[in-house]
Amino acid sequence: MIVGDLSLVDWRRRLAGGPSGPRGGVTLAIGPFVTRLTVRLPEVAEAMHFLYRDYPLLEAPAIHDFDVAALPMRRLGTGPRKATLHFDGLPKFDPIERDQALPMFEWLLNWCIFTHPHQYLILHAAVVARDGLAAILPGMPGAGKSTLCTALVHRGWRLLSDEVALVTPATGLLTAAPLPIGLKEESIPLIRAAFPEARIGPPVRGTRKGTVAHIAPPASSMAAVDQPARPRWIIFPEYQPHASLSLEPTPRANALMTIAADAFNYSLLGATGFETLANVVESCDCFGLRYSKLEDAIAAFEELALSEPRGSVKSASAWVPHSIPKGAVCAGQAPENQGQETCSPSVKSQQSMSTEHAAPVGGKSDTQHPVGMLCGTPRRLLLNVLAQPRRMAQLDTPAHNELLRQARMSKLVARLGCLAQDANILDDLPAKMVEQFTAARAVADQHARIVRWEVNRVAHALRQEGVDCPVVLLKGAAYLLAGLDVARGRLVTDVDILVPASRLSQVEVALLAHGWESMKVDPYDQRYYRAWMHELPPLKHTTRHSVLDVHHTILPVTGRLSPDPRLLLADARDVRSAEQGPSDARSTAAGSRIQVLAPADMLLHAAVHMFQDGELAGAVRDLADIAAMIAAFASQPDFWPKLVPRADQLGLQRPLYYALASARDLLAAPVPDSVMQALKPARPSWPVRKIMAHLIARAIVPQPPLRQDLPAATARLALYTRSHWLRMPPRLLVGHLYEKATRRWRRDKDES
Amino acid sequence: MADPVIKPQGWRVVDPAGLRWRSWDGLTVVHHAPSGDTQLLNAIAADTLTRLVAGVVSVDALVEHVAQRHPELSSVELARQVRILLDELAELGIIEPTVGNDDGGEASGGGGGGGGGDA
Repeated sequence: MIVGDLSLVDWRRRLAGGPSGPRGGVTLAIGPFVTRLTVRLPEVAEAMHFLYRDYPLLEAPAIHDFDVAALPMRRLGTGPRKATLHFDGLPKFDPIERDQALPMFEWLLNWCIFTHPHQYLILHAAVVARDGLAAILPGMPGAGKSTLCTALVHRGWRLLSDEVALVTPATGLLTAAPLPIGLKEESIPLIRAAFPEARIGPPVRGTRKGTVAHIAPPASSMAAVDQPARPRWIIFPEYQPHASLSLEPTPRANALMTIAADAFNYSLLGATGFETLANVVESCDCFGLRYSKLEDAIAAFEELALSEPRGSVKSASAWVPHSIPKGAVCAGQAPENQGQETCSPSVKSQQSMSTEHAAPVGGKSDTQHPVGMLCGTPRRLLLNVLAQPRRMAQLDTPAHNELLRQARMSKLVARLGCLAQDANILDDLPAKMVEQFTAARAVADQHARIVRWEVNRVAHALRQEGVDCPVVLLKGAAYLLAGLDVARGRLVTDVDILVPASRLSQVEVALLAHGWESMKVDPYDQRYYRAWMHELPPLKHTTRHSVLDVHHTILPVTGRLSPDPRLLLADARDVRSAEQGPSDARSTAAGSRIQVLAPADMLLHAAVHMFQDGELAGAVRDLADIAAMIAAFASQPDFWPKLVPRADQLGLQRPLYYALASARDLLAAPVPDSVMQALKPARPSWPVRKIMAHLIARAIVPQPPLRQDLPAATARLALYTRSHWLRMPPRLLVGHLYEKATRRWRRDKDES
Repeated sequence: MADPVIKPQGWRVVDPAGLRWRSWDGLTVVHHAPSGDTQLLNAIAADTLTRLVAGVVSVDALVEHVAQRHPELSSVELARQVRILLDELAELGIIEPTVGNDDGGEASGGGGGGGGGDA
């Protein structure tokens, strides 16, 4: 069934979903991507009925790659009508004016493909094909890529995509995922005149790009959407008014650098990205095409196609397969900006620590599916699967969608993939789910690579500046360099280090001399961190854009607990050199030593980070870290005997109690009864224990705003209030909140 | 503890296994896995890095190695280019200077030094 099989009325009704709430919508196949759409804007629904006429509709339940929605906003007063766009149930942008909703929604769909399916190398280029051979058209804005692409697909070339080249690393083949082609300004009448058969959607005026209109992919392209194509040509188009046609060879190395600089996940895939792109470039003839007349450009393409013996695939035998390891997690990242030049070393493969995205609007009603029978209530689905990963294989499709939604919001998709792999159930899971694990694992691997390199650069900077002091890695970086299982599939958004308070300023000066700069320039923020917090204002590297938190202790100095950081530093362990990578990270006689906390201290730090310093709401990943650490350290003979005495020594019994009790209750962590018994004097009173257990169970799994119920919202608010209460004495807290509120008010006023 | 007497020895690639290469038409692209960066190298840079991958080498030996492949360039100009290149590669974390101490041992040096690795 395709969209065009539905009447406009039926399409609108189905696209809008049920009469209330966010549930409902249709499931569409955009190439390989199963996309759930909920649209309650009739004008957008109507345009989509026209533009998506030939897209397959999926009737059976399916694992969603993307879940997007366009919803009207309630209007108060007489202001312009507005709409909100959502991804996974979370608002994606600020509210937009209704008449801009169509192009913004189209952009959102493109963004989904740009930022998620890391099982592919995702290049920013149009792709058209003939006889199974593809031309890749990278193009800067204004180069005429979309106009040329539109012309070609109305002259016998098949559209794979106007925006992305999706390369499978293992085969080098290009996958089609066509969306309507966006045209702007004068290209619209040009295409309308040259190709009267083109199906052009309603023009939208006043967008950031001027007037835009979308062209529906030709029916012939949609009919062949499941056929991959082999890369054969890379052509950099450049529209220049009045220019004569020229088609000049481009050096392959330059082609690679240009494409890599504009790719969506080249850096993220690391060596696989390089090998895959190098293979693509090697398989192709590369040209720069300058043109002023579409007919000339089309003729040049025809000539290329005709010169190719039918069925031949040049250099295909040179393809070196590169697979992304199967079995782990997913996420997104922003397009990259890379510089490039010829000769002598240059080029930057920018790496960004992207975060995973949130969760779908829908899934059918919870009561319609046997989620409850298999894994408790849907609210606890993720917790129950983390506790017993084999349950993943027993879930049905709606439950899998719900599980992935919760995991995406919790940044745990890659971790789930690792657990599924360990449980040997990957083959029992839907292929779509494993694909998302693979994509997420690619992101986690990139984070690990970045963290290792950042640690290397920190050590390098300190050594260059002659700073000789221990540098203790904390949290994600520590788990990674200590080689702990908890690091597998874990996303790390920044690097945290602990240094002796007496060396703090020396370390800061050294880092500032090597490209880091403070992210907080406001005097109040500077004072907030330096006077009250346990760390310097966060530092960001000017070229690598990584974030570094330099701590001198593990809890705010204004907080209710004050563990002595000297005890932590004294018991820290050197990182094994095998885990450190390049030599800069190794301890040297003349430089800082890279260390991690001792096992008991590492667990205690995770406990205070979650239960004393952080916000508990949505913190399921932190609890999963704690449970994984418990599992890893439990086999060490001196771990349990030392843990409670160490908590006593540092004054951290209460957060340790909460951590162990929660990990045991919610994630079935193997905490011995004797340890819980030893913590009995530190535990809170019975009513407090019960209330806390209830609040944590309610709020620890994040929910998108559209699906949040009142008890969960109340629990989140209560835990939020608690976390601030613990961080600062009341008087200071009131002053801080007043400062934050007035700054927000001033900012809103300035913006308005 | 007294510092040993440091003797500069030469340069080496920090992690040779972390480099992946492709060369076409006199240009080379090299991917440095630890940093995730990709570099575009001209023929001189590629020859220099190739020699460094083979093992520790002094600046003089590097210049001699590259000069054999590029007789069109003056030795002064070539030495200047090689030194600039070494600084750039060190700053990128791809290579590091090696130093020796007075007991004849060898260790990695400070990294990113100003071309001071030649013997």
